[in-house]
Amino acid sequence: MTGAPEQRNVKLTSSEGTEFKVERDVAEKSVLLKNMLEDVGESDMAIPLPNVTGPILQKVIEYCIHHRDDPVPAHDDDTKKTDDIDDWDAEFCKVDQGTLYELILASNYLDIKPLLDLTCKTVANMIKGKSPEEIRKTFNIANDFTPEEEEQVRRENEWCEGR
Amino acid sequence: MATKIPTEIIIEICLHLTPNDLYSLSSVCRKYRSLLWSTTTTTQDIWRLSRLSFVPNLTLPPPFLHTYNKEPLKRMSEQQYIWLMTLCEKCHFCDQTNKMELTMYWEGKFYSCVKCLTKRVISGETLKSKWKVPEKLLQCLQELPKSFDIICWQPQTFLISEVINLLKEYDQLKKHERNDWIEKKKREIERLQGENETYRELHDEF
Repeated sequence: MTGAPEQRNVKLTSSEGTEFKVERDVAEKSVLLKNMLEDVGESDMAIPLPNVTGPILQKVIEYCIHHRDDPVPAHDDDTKKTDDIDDWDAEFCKVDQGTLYELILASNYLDIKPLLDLTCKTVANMIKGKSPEEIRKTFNIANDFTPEEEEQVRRENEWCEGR
Repeated sequence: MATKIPTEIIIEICLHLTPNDLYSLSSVCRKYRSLLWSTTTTTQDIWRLSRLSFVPNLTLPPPFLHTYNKEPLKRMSEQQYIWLMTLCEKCHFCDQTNKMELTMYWEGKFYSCVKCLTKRVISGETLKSKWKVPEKLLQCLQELPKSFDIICWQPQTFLISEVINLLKEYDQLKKHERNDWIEKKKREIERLQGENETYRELHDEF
């Protein structure tokens, strides 16, 4: 064996114009970039990512490097469990809420399914077992129901009417 | 989370939540209420996937409801089904919470204690003799299963509420419509009764 062919680096530009160099297999964790690279072929041009800021792109790359050798996830598994986040991933998601949302949006845009799953699971874990009031506090959501609507919600939740 | 995250992502997040969590989230604010409390396919899918992921013994789809006013049979919503099967903790009519006292009546899709149920049923005999209900209409009603819970159980025991709804619909019919309507109802009731048995066998315990 003479070893794998030498990998070319791929250049990415964040929304502020910061350039990032990553190895091709790392970039290809993103289905969006993978398709782009396949369409464009070999090129030295940087790929602009106007929807992703530098610090977020840095985090995304960190994730893709750590998971570069993971097998491609099996097709949509309908049964989702939230207790299967490993230590590295859990540590990776210990960021403020703003960053977490940016990561969700970036993984959605770049089409990195495992990262989207991980970040969505992390948000879901912040909701689990909480009352509506606790959820409002956690995510700083205003209760915009009128007292009448709130009563209506309570009645609907217990299926008190309409039967 | 309220404003910045697009709905498609909220849906992704919901796929990791238990039915209980979905109930809480749907009570947080108007935005989540409208997302989680509708009967659209998207909303029903969210609840269905949550049910299949987190309530492993609840694999049957929501049961059909007895409908009136010539509406076709339609299934109970996922929200109501899940509530009924996993969250409901008391008699539909009183505050009885002792599960030993409660039975699921699929004919009415509710849990009831014996006392409350007894007050809400009527026999075919009474319907014919006192209510003057034509005999052929009795085939358009779901018969409650033989049960020693109902103190005065006799063959042909029905829920009074169902009788009233049926008679209301029947009275609005023109004479020439009646026979076809009865035939259609009979077929629907047969289907519902068959389904009731399936659900009863699978979920005979609270």
